[in-house]
Amino acid sequence: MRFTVDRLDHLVINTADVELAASWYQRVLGMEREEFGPDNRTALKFGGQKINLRPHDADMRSWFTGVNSKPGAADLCFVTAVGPEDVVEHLHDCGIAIEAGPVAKEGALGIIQSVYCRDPDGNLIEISSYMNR
Amino acid sequence: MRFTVDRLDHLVINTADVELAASWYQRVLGMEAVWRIEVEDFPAFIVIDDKGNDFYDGME
Repeated sequence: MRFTVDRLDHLVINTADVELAASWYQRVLGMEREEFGPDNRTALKFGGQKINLRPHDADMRSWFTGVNSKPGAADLCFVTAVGPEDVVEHLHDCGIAIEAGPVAKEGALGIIQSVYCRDPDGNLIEISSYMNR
Repeated sequence: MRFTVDRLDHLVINTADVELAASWYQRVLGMEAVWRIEVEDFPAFIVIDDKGNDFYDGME
């Protein structure tokens, strides 16, 4: 039997400021904040996935991560149900600068319309709409 | 209406060696390099799994 992975469950973002990052993801991407585990780690839930926020200077023994734990290294694309014009309007309402877009890109399942911005750590955040669904 | 995102479409991994990384994700995690794209003379693979999760976005 061929071994495969089915989906991404969660990913970890190394951040310079957990509070600032958490409030940004709640406010701008509509995620729900949750504290979990004995160390009260912070997670941001969306759909069936979540982001865990790791303080970039956390001890590798208490919370290990990739070899490069600098903030701002992530480059993530999220799918939204609304169209690119609504994404642009929402980012304007939030006071978030748009880096690029709307622009057509190749998503995992086909063509997407993408709008790019940055989170407080400088991670590149792509917000995308599949136009045919 | 409250704005939300539904799921992650793809993420970008910056790598020192695209060939090495692509072959690792195929061999160890069973992903498929579905197409190779050339971006400004820089070779890249787009790797997806069977649910369409895309692990390379081609250094856009």
